[in-house]
Amino acid sequence: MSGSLPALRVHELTVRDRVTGATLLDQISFEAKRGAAIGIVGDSGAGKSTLALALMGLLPSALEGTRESTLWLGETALHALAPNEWRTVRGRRLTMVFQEPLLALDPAMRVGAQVIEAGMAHGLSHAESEQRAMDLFARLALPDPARLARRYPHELSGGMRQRVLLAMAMLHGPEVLIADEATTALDPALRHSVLDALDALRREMGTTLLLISHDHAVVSARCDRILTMAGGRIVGDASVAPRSTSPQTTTSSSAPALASSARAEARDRGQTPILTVRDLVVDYTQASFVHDATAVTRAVDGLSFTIDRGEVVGLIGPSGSGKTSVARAILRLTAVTRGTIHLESTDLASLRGRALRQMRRRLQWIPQDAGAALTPHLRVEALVAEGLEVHGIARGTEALRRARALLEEVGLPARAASARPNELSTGERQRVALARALATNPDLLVCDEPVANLDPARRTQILDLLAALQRARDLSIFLISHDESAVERLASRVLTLYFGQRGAPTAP
Amino acid sequence: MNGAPRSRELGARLGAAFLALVGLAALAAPWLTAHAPTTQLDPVALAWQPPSAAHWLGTDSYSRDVWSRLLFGARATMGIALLAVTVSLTLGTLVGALAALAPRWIDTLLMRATDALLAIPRLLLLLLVVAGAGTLEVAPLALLLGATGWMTTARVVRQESSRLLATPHLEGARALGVPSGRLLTRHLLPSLLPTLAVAATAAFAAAVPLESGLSYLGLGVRTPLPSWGNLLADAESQPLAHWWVIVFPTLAIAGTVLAANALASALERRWRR
Repeated sequence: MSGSLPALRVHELTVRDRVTGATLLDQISFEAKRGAAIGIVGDSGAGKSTLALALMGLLPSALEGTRESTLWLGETALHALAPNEWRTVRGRRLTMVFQEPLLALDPAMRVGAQVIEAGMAHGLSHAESEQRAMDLFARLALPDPARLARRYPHELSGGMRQRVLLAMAMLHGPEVLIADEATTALDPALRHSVLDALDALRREMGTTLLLISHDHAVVSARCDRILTMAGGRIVGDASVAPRSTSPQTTTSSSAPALASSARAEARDRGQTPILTVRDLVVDYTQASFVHDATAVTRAVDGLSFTIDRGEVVGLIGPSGSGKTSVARAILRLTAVTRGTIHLESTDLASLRGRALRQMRRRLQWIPQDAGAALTPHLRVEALVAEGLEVHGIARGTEALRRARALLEEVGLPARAASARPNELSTGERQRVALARALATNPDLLVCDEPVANLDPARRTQILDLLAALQRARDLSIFLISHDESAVERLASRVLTLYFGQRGAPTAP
Repeated sequence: MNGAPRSRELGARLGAAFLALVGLAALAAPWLTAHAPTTQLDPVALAWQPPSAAHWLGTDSYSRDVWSRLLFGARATMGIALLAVTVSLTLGTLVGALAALAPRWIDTLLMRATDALLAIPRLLLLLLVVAGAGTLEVAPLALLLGATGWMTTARVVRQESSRLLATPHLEGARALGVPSGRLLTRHLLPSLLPTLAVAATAAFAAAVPLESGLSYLGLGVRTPLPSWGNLLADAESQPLAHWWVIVFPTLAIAGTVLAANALASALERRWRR
């Protein structure tokens, strides 16, 4: 329709803070050809997300673009659009997928209805929208689209939600799709299949993609041109030769070797494994008031494995495969439908009250979002000392002293001890959670995605720290992640979970 | 989004200011009044005096100073309401939090008992007790009001506690092995404070008219001690000819209830974000 015009033209885009006058974007200029895939990389704070918001006309009111800034979508001057004119552009010709899919979906509305609503908002009929939604769900590898459409956002895994949003964004065959870290939370296998599906859709519809990510590997595999941003400027513009779509991951670490020797020793001594899981089944039932039935979702389906003393066992699997349910079942936070879990020779299901609490000393947890798992009004040292106090290991000032020593051991600065959790960064909170879990000197540490929220540099730091602590304390670790490279770095054995069932174990 | 919330914010501030003013006036009553609330100045010459410089709010049928009775009455009414709220909030929080933390059967038992008590109209319950025990002193009356008012708080606390128990930080504390008592005092209660503040303000707004109602019926604070309900009861014989004896206590009751409700909804909005 727009002939030879580029799909997107950005000319001298400068964005300033109205109050402080700080320049967030500094004379950004680039053009994107129709159907091109352009990657935008850069560290956090480089201005990637501000650029995305500026393109979408969604800049927060504290920020403003200068008069010289011009933005063109085909022949439409975005910089001159009135708010009501934006409505015909945004969500139809120009769409965006954000990093947090949960924030972008209405929790009280079935996902199918939300996609259909997005279709009808731009003039499609209900039937057409539904047809396209089902088609897109299927093409984005969402299982059982018709059933999925009737579910609510919280019933989907993070990866599924992200694909629902992608379907919504692609519904009208947009001219430009901006994906801001849209696949960062997905596991590698799923990320590739989603990006493959997106590529195919994009080619068909002639959509230009702006892929914003801090993951260089993903961007260079998917894009034909990469813009590098730093300090609000474009500092690099390189075209990329087409490459294989599955980047190789190489890992080398001495931790697995050490761990497996410890494990061999344990075997030699004829010890019982620290953890034995047999035929574990976890179902979630949901009663329905409308239909006279209960819906049962099987999260874990007959999983068996053991972890030896001093061994690091990894569990990987795509989003929604039941990894967290396994962790929660072991920790007695979710009811086990069938099967047994033994900590050494103790059947965990048999424990009640005091005995259950005492067992928790030996079995510690670093939950998926460790920062949120720290009670916000308590000081960090009190949070770490709590484990010592409730298990009678140390009290009062002695407990606090030990807590501060632990905080130092996990590499936190002294000021962190008296801070409250929200005064720390994500990486620091992750370390607090680690110190808190280690305080009771546990036998087994269950780590659920311990590095998923961190950037690559912090990720390596935390994994190295875990490895060092594991060696120093002869800890057994059950390491759950969708990130194979993270797991392979530490684990001597890796289990694969695929929709509640176990895939073949792999040795790194 | 600037217009409406700001005016609501103003309502909340006015409400808080009004409550503070009434509280201060009640505390400082002896210094703000020229006559004792029960003194009959001159039953013949000074009965039914309209508001004047000498008697700001006039006098009643016994020639008592209405301004003085209103201020000293605030002591009784506000004091009873505050004590009642303390009792109902403590009971309600205990029952609600226990129900949320305890095993299923205790939860069911407590909440069904709460429902059963909620099903009996509160005024009827109060009348039954007062009818059985005769009129009460101030403290027992407050305790009685509290003991019949905790059920709503228990429901709200039970609901909010169950929600909080599923949040990551409480689950994290549970997985660490924190026992229930400590879980309640260290992790749960501080997170419940916003809910409790709203519940307390709402309970206060309910307790003030209840006290007044009981006193008006002659079942509350014993005459000649002043309370806002008693002032209304005294005014009942000739409300139209002597408007001042009924208008001022009515304004005080209505203003206090409105102020407390405005404050409650403002607190709720602030913390629900």
